[in-house]
Amino acid sequence: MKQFEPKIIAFVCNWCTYAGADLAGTSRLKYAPNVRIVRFPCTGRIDYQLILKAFENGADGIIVSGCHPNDCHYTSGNFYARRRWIVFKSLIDFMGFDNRRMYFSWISAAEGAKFASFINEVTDSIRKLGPYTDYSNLRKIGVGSIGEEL
Amino acid sequence: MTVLARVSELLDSQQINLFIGYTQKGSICPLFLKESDQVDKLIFNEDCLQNLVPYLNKHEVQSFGKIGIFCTFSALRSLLQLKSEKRFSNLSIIPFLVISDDEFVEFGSYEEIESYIEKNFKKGDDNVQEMIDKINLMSTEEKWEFWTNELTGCIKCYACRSACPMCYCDKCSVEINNPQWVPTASHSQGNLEWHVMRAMHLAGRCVNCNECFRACPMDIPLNLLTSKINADMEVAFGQIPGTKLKLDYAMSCYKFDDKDNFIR
Repeated sequence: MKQFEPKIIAFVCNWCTYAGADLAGTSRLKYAPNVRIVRFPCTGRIDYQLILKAFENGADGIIVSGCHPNDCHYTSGNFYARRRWIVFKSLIDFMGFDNRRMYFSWISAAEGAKFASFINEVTDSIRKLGPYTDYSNLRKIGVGSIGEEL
Repeated sequence: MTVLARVSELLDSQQINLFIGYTQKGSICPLFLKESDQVDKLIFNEDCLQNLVPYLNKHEVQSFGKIGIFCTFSALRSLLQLKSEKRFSNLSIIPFLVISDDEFVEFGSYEEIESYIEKNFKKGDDNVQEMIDKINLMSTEEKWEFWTNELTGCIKCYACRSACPMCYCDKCSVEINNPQWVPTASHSQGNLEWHVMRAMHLAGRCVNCNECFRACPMDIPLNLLTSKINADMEVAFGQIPGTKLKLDYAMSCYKFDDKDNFIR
């Protein structure tokens, strides 16, 4: 049987984690190809609705990553983001979203190796969890034959 | 002096142009008084739970300029929270907290409201807390099942939004269709997104008046979401909305040592 390959969406900031991913590439580090990177100006720009949209459109896991605290290109964007994630995480935990599929990290432009190993680790653990069906099953409620095609 | 006499005095002397209170027409409903002749229709008893403060956000009500209003304790908190969000700058509001017919508190300034709330502060509803504790003990799958079951009933009437004193945007995100963040149909998936969004927008602002729950025609306990976030935010950031006249919105400020043990 073919091994399950999870779809993982990574929301990363332009200045640190995206550059870190770039470094991983130029250093010829190998990491799992399951991750789709979406580049944002700053973690402060990453809306929680985007995460819900990612799950709605079939993501099995998501990663949010940006500059370490005090390293933000815009001075404080990641501090605002951190507060937002604290609140958002408490809400989705309370609502029963599968919190094992959401990863938050700080990865700087110099941490290409951390980026590669982090992606591998996340991919492995989500592969073990299997496809995320909670959210996509909701879509099928009351839809009937159209839902089955989705 | 009874509260009714005081209201008619204020209306007659034009210190207020509008009074918002409760009346009984079969059930308890809000009453808007422009003249003092109908003052005897006003009632206040333990069934008068509705938070009337959301009306103050309406442009047509604001056009009266000087307004008196009956407030419950949580309505006072919402008034204070709205003021801390710099609302009502061109509005003079006289809130009344009625205890009995002869006993009432009339607030002359927001500072008075602030000190009254500080003196009489009580934690939210015990039933709500009990329910939150119960859900906290559930496993992730049980929580998911509980919430998807509850939210499947949502008919997207947005009564929760209309009844909420803190939902005052002229244009709400759910009415924006490019991009369409929240699907308009009343379907499980979009319902979930709407309630996540509502709770996130009220994070650190909800005053636990439970008006959303009372307004909900489907009896969805959506006040649990905002109450839960609020309780967590109180622990994490040490702020209680609706208790201070000068309160920074918790989501638009930060501390260097905010707890980030879940971030790798």
